Amino acid sequence: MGAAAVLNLPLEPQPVLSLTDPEITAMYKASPTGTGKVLKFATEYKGWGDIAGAAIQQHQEYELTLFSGQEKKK
Amino acid sequence: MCADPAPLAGVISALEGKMGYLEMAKLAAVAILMVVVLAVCGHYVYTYKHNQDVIAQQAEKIKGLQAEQDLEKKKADSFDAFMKKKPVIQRRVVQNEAQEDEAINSGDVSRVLDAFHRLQPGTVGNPPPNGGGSRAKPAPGAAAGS
Repeated sequence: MGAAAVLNLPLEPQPVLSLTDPEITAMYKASPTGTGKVLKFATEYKGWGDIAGAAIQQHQEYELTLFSGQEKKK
Repeated sequence: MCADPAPLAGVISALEGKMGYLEMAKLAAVAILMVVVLAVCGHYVYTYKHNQDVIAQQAEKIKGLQAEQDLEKKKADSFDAFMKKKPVIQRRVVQNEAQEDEAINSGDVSRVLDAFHRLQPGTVGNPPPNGGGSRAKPAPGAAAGS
């Protein structure tokens, strides 16, 4: 089986804070501080998602090295 | 291993009463010597076979340990590779947050819009591909004051 045995967990597309420009502008004018908090939260969440994706990818690569090692020994 | 016919004949003679004490003692000594030699040989044979078994077991154990070591090395390499990626992403988040603070505090709506656009998938802390479309097109909702 080799590399085909590596479990591929499909991630859904990363969620995005979907706001139109007018919505953002209105939100900012109403509350700059609140808009800043939303923005920073979304940035941190995106960063967290990127790290999680990197972890999954790295684990899959690790599993692939296990199987490639076995194939080399054979 | 086969008994020498001479001592056997000697034993038979002794039984028949034709042998002196000295010869009987010699025969006994030879018999004891043979037993000792056989015991030593047996011991060596047994030890050799036992050591062969131990060596085979140790070889299996060494093979297992080597496989385990190989696995640990791969794990460590994989962990190191991930730990190289992680701080890059964390630095990017910190930089983006600093830019967002500046944008929020500047009072410039277009910079805030750009900051939101940077959150879209495929952008890694860069300005939007259209070079800041939000600046070129001010939000109509904002103009209306909604």
